[in-house]
Amino acid sequence: MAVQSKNNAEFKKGAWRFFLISTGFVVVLMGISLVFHSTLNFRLGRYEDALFLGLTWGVFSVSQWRLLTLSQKTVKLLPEEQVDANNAKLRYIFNRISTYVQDNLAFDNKSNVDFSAATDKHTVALSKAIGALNNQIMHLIATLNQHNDDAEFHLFDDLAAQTAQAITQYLTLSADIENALREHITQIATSLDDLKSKFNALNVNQLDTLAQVDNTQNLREIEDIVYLHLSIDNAIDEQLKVISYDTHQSALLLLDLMRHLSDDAESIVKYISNANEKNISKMESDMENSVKFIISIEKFIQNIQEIPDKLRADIDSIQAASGVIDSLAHLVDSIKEISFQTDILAVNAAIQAAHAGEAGLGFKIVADEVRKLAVNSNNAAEMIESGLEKARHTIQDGLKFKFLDEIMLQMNGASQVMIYVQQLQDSQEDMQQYYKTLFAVINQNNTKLAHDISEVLGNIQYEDVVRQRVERIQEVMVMRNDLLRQFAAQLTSDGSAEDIITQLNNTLNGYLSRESHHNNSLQAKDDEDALPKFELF
Amino acid sequence: MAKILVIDDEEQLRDLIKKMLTRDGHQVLMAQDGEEGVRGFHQFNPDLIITDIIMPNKDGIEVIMELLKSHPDLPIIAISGGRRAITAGFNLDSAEMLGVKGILQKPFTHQQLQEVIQKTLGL
Amino acid sequence: MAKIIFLVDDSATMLMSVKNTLELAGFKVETAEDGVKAMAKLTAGLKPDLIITDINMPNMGGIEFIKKARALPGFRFLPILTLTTESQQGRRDEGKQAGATGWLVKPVGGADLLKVIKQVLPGA
Repeated sequence: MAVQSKNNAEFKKGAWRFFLISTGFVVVLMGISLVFHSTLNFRLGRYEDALFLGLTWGVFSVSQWRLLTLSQKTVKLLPEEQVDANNAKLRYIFNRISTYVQDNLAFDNKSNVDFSAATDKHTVALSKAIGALNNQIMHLIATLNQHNDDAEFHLFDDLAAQTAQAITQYLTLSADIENALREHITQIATSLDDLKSKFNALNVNQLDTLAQVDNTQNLREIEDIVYLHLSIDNAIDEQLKVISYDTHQSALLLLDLMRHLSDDAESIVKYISNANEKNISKMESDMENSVKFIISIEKFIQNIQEIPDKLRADIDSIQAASGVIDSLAHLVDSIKEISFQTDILAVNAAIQAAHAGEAGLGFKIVADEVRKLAVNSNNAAEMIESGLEKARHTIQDGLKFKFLDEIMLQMNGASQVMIYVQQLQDSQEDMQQYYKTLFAVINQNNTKLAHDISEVLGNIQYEDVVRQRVERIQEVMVMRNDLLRQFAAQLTSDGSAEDIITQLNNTLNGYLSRESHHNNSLQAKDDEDALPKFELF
Repeated sequence: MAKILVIDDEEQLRDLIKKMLTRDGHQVLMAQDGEEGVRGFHQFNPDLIITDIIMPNKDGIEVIMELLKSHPDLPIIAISGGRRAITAGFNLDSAEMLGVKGILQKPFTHQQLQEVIQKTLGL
Repeated sequence: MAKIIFLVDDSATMLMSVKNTLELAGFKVETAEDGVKAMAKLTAGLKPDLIITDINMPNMGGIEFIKKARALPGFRFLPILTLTTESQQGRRDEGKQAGATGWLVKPVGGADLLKVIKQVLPGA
């Protein structure tokens, strides 16, 4: 009996060894594959993927080593019947580990491949769409600068339509890429959760009993690390929610203010166009007719040799006044440009408000555009200012019809001429009144536009607050990833990860504490314990 | 029903508007030009101002700008289109840009005047 | 003579926003992006009537800048306000000790900012 059991034991030992070596081979191959993928993901900056694969590999290595040592210990320490039972259990555990690793590896491969393909395709298309949109805007502005005849304003319509198309394309692609990103992040979160629950499912106590050796330490450490990793993720997620809320609210407010600005700019464009079209040509032609008639009857009137020259001088000043009108048309273009740019900005703000998930980045783009707009608007406002000055001087200098009083004194009999002279005087008064009114209205609306722009600029400060919040998130992520890297490296050696766990804990607590110092989200309005926003010492 | 200040340099039109408004039961004060109009505003404290645009001694545009600066919500109706009506439309556009709440082009009927006053005062 | 306000902040957005508000209100505005550039302007002869500074900036932060600015001749009684995302009591005490006249938390609306400035710059 004893010999038979001894032979059995020997045979079983050999079989077990053979089993271990052959599967160990497979395991090593899988381990290498895991390491490769982990490094690849790490290089690509996909820290969560790297961690997941690193942990899987770590579990693998640990279980592999444990199994080897266990098998030896088992054969030495325990009676034969128990050896069989325990071997069966070990085989079961080993199979479970290899199965879920296989599952997750295949899963991860697939999701990585899909996501890379999707983001590549989308990124290329997206940057093309943004490029097309920018080109449209540049083209439009160039066209406005070159063509300022009324006849050519139809070009404006075509370009506006094309630009609207480009905007729609950008909107669609932007939505696609955000969806793909969300999906991928959800998958990673799910697989991490999965890993954690599988850890829990593993019956750690079985190994305990088998080896009578405390070998739970490494697995518990892995659990701690995963837990802290997820806690930091939660803390970051909280701040991302704040960023999302602040960006969303501010973008909506900005959108409102820019629509207001756009409306005001549009109304002044309409006003100047109407004023231009209807009135000036009629007044001009009236005055020209009067002057021409007066000149044509000069030969029938005595003592008026001087008058033709003066009348000719007045025709010159009428033409100068027409030049002023042309320059006003340029000013219309500037204001049209502002109007169009604020429309683009309003659309952008709407895009950002709808896609507020891109923590702060999109908001920065809006803030940049607002800054550019402010500069352009100021330039246009200055142009208007100097244009008005010039116009005012031309008219004041030009339309001095004082000599008309002289004519009226001399024209006793020529009542017909008197009528035309009276008409001329009336027209001149009309024109002066016209310009006076025009300037008064434009000046007042300039002030309104400046005030509108100021309102917009006063509300982009959230870009800075959000940017700082994002920077603090990046900071804590770098610290965490560094510690995880250390942990992954340390998995192969026999040391304890206690130190890393402590540092990770400190990282989490440090981050939470720092965030409590910057409590200036739009959501935090109702906090009564908060310190006042303005304090004089 | 309301205290209305009317500013217009044309005597005929002043008389016409006064007849229309008193018939509707409003209390009316008349002024001949912009300066008189502004003085009248400070003394009379009207609920509504009806002002012409082209007048001597401070035109309607100046009156509107001055009064709206100190009283931004003051209801003002601008009228235009008397002699030299070329720029009537432009004048009314300008008055609207400056913030008047109602406009009326001459010549107008009693009903048109009533409608504009109703709309402006939100009656 | 328009009063001069010196704005110090590393965010271009903040500079544009606050500068616009102040210039519309009639102030003349000078700017700098960090404490080092700000000190350079002050030592080169800029004499503002009020300084408004951020706290978290590269190269030299706000606390250090306030201390250094206070040490310059003629700057003992100049009003200096902070404008920062930091809100905690500890930081406010630090600012007070460094010599700040007041503490403002971002973001700050135009009307509110001008109200505070009226309090520290009488006759503005």
